[in-house]
Amino acid sequence: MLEIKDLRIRFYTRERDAVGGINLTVNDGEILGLVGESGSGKTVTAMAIGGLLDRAACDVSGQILLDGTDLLTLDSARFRKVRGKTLGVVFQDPSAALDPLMKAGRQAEEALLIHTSMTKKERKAAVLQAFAAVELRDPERVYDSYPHELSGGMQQRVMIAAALVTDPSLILLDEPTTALDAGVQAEILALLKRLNAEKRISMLLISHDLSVVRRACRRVAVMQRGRIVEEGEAEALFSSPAHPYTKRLLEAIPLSRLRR
Amino acid sequence: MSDPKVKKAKKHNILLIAGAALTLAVLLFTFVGAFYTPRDPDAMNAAEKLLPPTLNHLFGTDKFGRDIFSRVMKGTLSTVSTALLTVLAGGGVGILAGAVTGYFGGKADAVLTRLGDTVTAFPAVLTALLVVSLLGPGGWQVAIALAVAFIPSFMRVSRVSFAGQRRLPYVISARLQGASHAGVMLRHILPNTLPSLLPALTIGFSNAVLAEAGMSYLGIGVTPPDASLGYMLSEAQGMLALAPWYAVSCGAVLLAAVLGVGLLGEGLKDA
Ligand SMILES: Nc1ncnc2c1ncn2[C@@H]1O[C@H](COP(=O)(O)OP(=O)(O)OP(=O)(O)O)[C@@H](O)[C@H]1O
Ligand SMILES: [Mg+2]
Repeated sequence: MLEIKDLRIRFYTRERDAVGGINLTVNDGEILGLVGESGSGKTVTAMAIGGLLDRAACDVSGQILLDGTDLLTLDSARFRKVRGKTLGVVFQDPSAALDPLMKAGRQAEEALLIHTSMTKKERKAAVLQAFAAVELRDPERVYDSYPHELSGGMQQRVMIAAALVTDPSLILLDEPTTALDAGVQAEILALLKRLNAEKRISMLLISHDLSVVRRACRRVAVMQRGRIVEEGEAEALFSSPAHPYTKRLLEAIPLSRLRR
Repeated sequence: MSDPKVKKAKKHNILLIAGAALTLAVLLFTFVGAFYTPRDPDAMNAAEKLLPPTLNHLFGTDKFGRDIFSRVMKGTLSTVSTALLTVLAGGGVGILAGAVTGYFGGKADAVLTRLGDTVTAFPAVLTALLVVSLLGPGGWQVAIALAVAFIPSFMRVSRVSFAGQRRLPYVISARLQGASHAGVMLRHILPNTLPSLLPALTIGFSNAVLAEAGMSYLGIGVTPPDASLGYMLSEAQGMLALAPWYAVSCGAVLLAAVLGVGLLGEGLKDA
């Protein structure tokens, strides 16, 4: 599915590599968790996969293979196609990730508008279906709502629906629940697990919060200062962390949340 | 309730309504003037010289016996269309240039911004003068000259807005859905920058009206038989003692146009 080989990213303005040669594989139909503290390079990795790094500001080497195609070698026109079809992306703060002046429905169907020849009606039908899939109540009303008329949880569901609508094979989620409160966070994680199980969509779930990753993923990679320091089955990793950094991350979680 | 926010909103509402009403009135006056004037604005009539305002001649007549109301209508048409053309051309080019440089940054940005600063270093009227001296006098030439002089100011506003928006998550999200740069700029960023662009456009319109009037007044604007409000003002000055109503009516319409659009811009800023 997604195979990252020796990915190295260095910003010209910095001494240290932001990402220092990582190898990472997301298998077909799995949710891989990527955890690490702030500044460890998680978002930069996601930006590289999404093709959003400003190549004039940094040096990128290695390979990012999505279904066998190296994304790093694609020209921008072909990358746009990949972004719109094969790859979905969901960010941390849904209120900032939605265009405040565009109705939710129109935003969710943007990829269809750009990459398919579907009619307006077909697009709307597809979006309403995606809205239902992410458990938005009253999809018709959400379709015609502006982002500020929706709650944070609903906004994030719209973002997930927008990522789903093109039937991607991989969805990148960068801190998808960090901006949401605990209850909504749990709902969204449950939703992601369900979508993964039902539609067999692979996901890369990025979070600084081990408890989030623990609830959603079977396999986890731990990142520190641009490197993967530990990788393995979530349960094993949680019960007997091998790397001291993982231990520290674990200790940072309040006990009450671990027991949940 | 004396919530300061509510009060502020109310004040803007009044500005907006007053501005919109004045602007609409001026536009209506202009539009009608394009198709119909009560008299021929250029027809002289020795029998009706220097008449004060009456029902027959709403704004009176000048020393050649021409109907001032009809002349002001014609002048307004010329002034407003020149200002609109200025804003359309100058705003179009300036906003586009600012959008591209602000969004992409880099070398083109540095060069164009420097160029804009250089042009801004000269007073707009001076720049316009230079262009008119190259193109020759006349209505559309003045509009082009003013457009050139105003491009940098439009460019600056639009550059700042686009540069501020390009890294925002919603723009990145749109890119991730596969939108092209042009698509993102047009469908997403432009609507979100309108609140800062609209006031720039209305201020540009007011400035264009005043600059055109100034240039025509100095005799470097429109040439007869064309006549703008500025040109008429200079005509009116020659008969100020005999027909003060000529200068007053030209001035009043100019003021209404500038004030109306200015208020509209103020009101839109926070609407
Ligand atoms: N555009 C940039 N220019 C220079 N350095 C950058 C840039 N973007 C990120 N970095 C650096 O790269 C490193 C990794 O940052 P990144 O955003 O990937 O961290 P993160 O793991 O996502 O952290 P967080 O949990 O806070 O989101 C940091 O040291 C950061 O300062
Ligand atoms: Mg991050």
